[in-house]
Amino acid sequence: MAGKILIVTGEHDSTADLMVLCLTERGVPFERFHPQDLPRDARVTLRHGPDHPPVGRMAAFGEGFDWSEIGAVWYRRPEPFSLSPALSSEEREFAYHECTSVMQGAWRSFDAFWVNHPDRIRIAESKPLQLMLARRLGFVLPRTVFTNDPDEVRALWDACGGAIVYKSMTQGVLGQSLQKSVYTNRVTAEHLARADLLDNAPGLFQEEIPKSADLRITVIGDRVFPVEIRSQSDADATVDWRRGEVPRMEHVPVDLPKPVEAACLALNRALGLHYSAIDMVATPDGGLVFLEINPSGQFGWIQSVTGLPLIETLADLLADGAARGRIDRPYDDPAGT
Amino acid sequence: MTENDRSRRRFLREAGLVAFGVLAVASARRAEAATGGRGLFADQFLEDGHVVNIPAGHYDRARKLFIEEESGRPMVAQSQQMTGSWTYSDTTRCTNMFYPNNGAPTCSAYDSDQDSHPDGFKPGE
Repeated sequence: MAGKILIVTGEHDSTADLMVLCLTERGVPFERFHPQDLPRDARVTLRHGPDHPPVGRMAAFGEGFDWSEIGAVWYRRPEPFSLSPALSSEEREFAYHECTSVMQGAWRSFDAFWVNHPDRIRIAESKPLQLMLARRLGFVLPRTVFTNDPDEVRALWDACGGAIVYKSMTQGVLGQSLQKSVYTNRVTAEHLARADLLDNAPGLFQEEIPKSADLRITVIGDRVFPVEIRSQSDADATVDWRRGEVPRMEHVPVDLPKPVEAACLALNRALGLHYSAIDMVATPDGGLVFLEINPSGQFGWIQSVTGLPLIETLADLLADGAARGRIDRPYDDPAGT
Repeated sequence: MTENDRSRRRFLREAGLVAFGVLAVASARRAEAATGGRGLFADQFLEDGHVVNIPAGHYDRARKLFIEEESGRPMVAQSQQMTGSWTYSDTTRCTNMFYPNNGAPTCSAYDSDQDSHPDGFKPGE
């Protein structure tokens, strides 16, 4: 049957586990695949030939599925491949790229309804692109500079009266141990004195927006779930709410002004996403300022603390996509199908 | 002079300079200047990440769930109560497989698919 849901993630993914419980309870057929099992414990085979459409099979620890069974994919949070420690670093690098290539080939070769296709995710994670689209859709934006030029950072600092923040553009971790993280931070004069370090990597610098609260807007299909996170009551979380004890902060479901809600949906559509988590700031004067959109953003805790039916809504979306044979390709089909 | 001609002449001029080692030295000086400062701007903001210690458990392939060893129950039930956003997925820090630690991948930077998914590290992401 072509109506199964495929969950692509890692072994340790509690949000995926919630989805597994939900789908099991509903009796919806699904598979779960962990790219981290590749290449030693999982087998992936893609067969192409002149007399048949592509055929794909994925199996881990002896159990698997044919791609023809899959109608929808939740591309959640896969983890890196498990390469043999017996390989040299050069061999590992080669093997890593070969594994990546075969998996990307699978994601790109077979039709399904994707939440979200990894190619869409990759594009959508570009923060300059996000800001460009958000502005065009009418969101209010903070002044933002992506640069490795110290003079540009100083100019932003002056223009904002010294109220600017630094963010990483990609991952929030640094170092092999992953015990260190980089949250959003105020940039002080002392930090600015080391702007020469931008010679070694560019950064994202943004006007600091006064907050009354943070806003987390989970968009699933055509449904929007805005939640106000009362981060300002936690001293650790005033600049970046992720730094605080998030579950202990007050979370309040709210309504968005209709134009903002419409803009959230339009931003998802523009990026080819069926799911996203949008971060905005509620200002003391009642304004809303766009910060970023996370195409693979976390949402399990929001359901946990607010009771909003996020998993159920996402399950509905996936099941509907699979049942109706919705196809979401990251390319134009030359056959026009 | 066409753009092609200009490009060709520039190429030939630079090739000539390289032949005398001039361009190579200039490039080396630029590289030296670029790495003059040690570290990253981001280093100024490093702080301890959130680490969640998860109870012993295993992934049950039949149930497609992570199971707590002691209770035999899905870990998700526990983790929701324990950590809210910092569920146990946050503890599985993926690997920078080019820098394995004693042969075991240790996780941080991903290329390709996984660079989009620094799993669990940014609880708010």
